[in-house]
Amino acid sequence: MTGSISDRIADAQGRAKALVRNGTGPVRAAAIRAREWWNGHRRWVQPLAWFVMIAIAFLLPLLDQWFTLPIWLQRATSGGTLSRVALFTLFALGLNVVVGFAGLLDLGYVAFWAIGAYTAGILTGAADYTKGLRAGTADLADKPVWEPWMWLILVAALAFAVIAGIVLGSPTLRLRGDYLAIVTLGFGEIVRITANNLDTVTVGPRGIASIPHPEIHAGPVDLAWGTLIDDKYYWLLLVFVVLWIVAIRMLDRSRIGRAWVAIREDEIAAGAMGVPVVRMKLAAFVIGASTAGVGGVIYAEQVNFINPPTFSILQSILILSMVVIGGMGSTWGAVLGATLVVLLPEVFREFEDYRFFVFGVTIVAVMAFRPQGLLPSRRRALELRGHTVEDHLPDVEVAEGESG
Amino acid sequence: MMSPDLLDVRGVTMRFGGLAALQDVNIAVAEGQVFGLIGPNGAGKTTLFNVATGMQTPTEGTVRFGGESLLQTSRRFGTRRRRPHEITALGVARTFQNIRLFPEMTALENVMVGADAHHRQNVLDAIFRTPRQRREDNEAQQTAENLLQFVGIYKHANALASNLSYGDQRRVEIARALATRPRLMLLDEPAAGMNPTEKATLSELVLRIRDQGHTILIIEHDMRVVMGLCERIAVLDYGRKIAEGTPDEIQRDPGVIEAYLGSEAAG
Repeated sequence: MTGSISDRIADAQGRAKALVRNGTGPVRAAAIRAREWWNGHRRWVQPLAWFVMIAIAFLLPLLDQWFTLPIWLQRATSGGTLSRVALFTLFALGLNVVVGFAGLLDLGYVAFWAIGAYTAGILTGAADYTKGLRAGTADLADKPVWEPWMWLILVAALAFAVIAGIVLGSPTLRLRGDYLAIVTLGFGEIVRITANNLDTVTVGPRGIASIPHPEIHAGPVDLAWGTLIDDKYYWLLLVFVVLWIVAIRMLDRSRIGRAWVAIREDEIAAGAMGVPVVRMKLAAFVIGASTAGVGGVIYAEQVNFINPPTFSILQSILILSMVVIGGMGSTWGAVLGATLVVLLPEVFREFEDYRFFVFGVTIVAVMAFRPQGLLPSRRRALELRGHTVEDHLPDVEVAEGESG
Repeated sequence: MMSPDLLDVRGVTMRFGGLAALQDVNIAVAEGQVFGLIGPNGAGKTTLFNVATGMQTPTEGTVRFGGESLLQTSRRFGTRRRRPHEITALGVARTFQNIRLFPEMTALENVMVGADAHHRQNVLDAIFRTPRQRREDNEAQQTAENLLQFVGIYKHANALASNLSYGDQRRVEIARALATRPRLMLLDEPAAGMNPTEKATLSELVLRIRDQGHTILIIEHDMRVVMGLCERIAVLDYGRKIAEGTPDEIQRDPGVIEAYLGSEAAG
């Protein structure tokens, strides 16, 4: 009679699962109604929602001028903090493609940030100037100034990051899981140590100073980015964040996005179903790298000074924690994760040295109570034309116990 | 002599250390056939599938598909091993003994991944939504919907693969493999864990797949399914092919009876 007992257990398990899935609580009902409303009005609500969201994001730094804000909100909406939020959002978006979509654990992401930043430092002439200054062959009159062509450094850094991504990726992406993590960890360190020791190009441990701030002088437009706390850096970064979110969403909904998820879920099956596994992994890796490269350029031009210790392994871990806290594979999760991880220590500044403790506790709490992340990826379920998901879900039979 | 066979496995030996999972195995599957591969557990049937799909490279022997080498592809200097996705593109698709769907994707998306095997859109196509991207994605969705209808689980198209019943998961796997437009389908124990009704539906599905012009190589333990479906059967035991013939011949073969039931029964 053991058969019937195990049957009954499987049956009970199945019913429990079905209850969870098809639960009829008020929250669930409200959620379904909200989703139905959203589906029915998506055509005009979605662009509107995007517009409102972007508008709010752009206006954030101005809040302080219009309202009297509590001190913590003042700090959170200052140009310096917001541009850090935007910079790390960009990084988290890029790393999320690598870790979240394609499932490649990259612990050396900071390397591509460094490559972007050093590209800016070297191509703007700041590296030569810093070297000359220390050798006594240059004086303040030689200080590099911004030239319009320097905007192309963004393209150059993107290209360098892509090349570095291909060079590192092509041999190593055949590795899986832990091995890849260790190799990327090593790569991050190699880039930092190279920057430290390649004095002739990178000026070594003392870093590159006097990287010029960007400017645009074109007809009526007359913009000059100022020092670290200038709100304009936030706006510049925000433009990139929006562009990247759009691009990543497009990728997610294409053959490329499907291939990434397939590789993440089962690499062997993906290969057997015709997914060019190594090429697709490389694509994810390179997209992540180029994101960090672009962010690195703006970072260097903002902070004006870069040196190797800035690009330590800790930064890679920090960016990874943003992705994990937000929810791996979720674009909005990456945005939220980066925002929280940057803002929390700022907001808790009253706690002085304990603010990092508070920050740590918050992260532990998130991971303990919501291990899938704050905004877990809900893969956009492709819907059959002319049907809705709800019509079908309740029909789903529950997997038998033996399916494993 | 030109071989008319679609799949031609010749002298394949696969050694893992001292263990020979396959020893000098010869199998030829003609186009349009349903070819059965049977044998006790551990006989090397799945290893043969892995060799035929490029997941494992045999120690010795050749595998030809439609006259071309399946294991190697020539390039300017010498040859290199064909990767699994290239073999899929040639027209070989498989299902797995222990179902390997993409659990976080819906049934429809799973099948779309298979349909993408013939798509060429790149990252830039995807970001800028080029006409090629739109055409390919439309085509993938259309193919997937048609195939889900064909295997009879259209109504579960939007369910996550992990939420489907065992039998339905098997059918999604078959649909996913069909989406790659294979000339040869390798089915690894498709009826395992199914009840008699499901097995009957499955047999009927396999025949319908054959009628659509696909050649089928099937591993199966259920003798009723095998004998009912296959035109030819090969029997593996301890990595060697011990018999090959029509279902009638196999059922009478003393070597096969011995392998399955022990020597006394054969005597």
